[in-house]
Amino acid sequence: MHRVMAEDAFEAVVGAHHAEIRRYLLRITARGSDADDLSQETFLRAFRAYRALPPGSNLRAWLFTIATNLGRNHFRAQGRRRRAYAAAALEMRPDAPDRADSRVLADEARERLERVIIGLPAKQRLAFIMRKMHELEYSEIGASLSCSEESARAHVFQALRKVRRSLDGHLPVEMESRS
Amino acid sequence: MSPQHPLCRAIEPDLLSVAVREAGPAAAGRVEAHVAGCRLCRDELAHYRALEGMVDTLRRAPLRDDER
Repeated sequence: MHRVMAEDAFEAVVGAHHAEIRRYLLRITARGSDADDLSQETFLRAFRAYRALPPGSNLRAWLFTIATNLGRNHFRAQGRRRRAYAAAALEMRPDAPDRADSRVLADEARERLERVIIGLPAKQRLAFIMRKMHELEYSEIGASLSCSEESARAHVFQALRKVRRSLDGHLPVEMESRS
Repeated sequence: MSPQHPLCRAIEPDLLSVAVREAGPAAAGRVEAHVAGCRLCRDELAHYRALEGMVDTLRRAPLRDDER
């Protein structure tokens, strides 16, 4: 009976968090098939550990930690291939679109931003996506990356600096008159 | 921002905190005082704010499920 109740409770956990965890995994891997495999593995591991979880635990942060660990293993298995590919793809993009349509420009900027994010070093990419796309607290990001809250914040800020430099000339900002 | 200038280098972490809306009142005050007299850091703040706007848009956008 106790097991059945735990399984029912876990189904509610899956219902509440699966979509976001898959979105997170899609953002960090940029590949739907990888996101499917890793989210399935995330919830399988979570199910096995669920009954041992202390009452009152932050389930969302716990699931992000499991997904992050799986993501990091996945990156290690992949090596530098994907980052090299992302950087090469960015280099090959034309600097400016021919069409002045604002929607096209917005799409170009978004694609460029996505490519820059996926090209970040793993810890910075994970911290940046957890913070800026999923709005996790720095303490939760630190727990996921096995580092302090301060280090988690430093990873996000380093990522922001790199993204800003990579998008130089492509940010929609109006400069002040130099006169 | 002038990367050579010590004041600009020192204010950069606070400037970033302001841009991402995480700065406390003291840091915000330091940045406000600095950018009032430094056009390069004012421009840098504008760039980071523009980036923050792009990131907000990306967060709200539906995800494409194709392989990129």
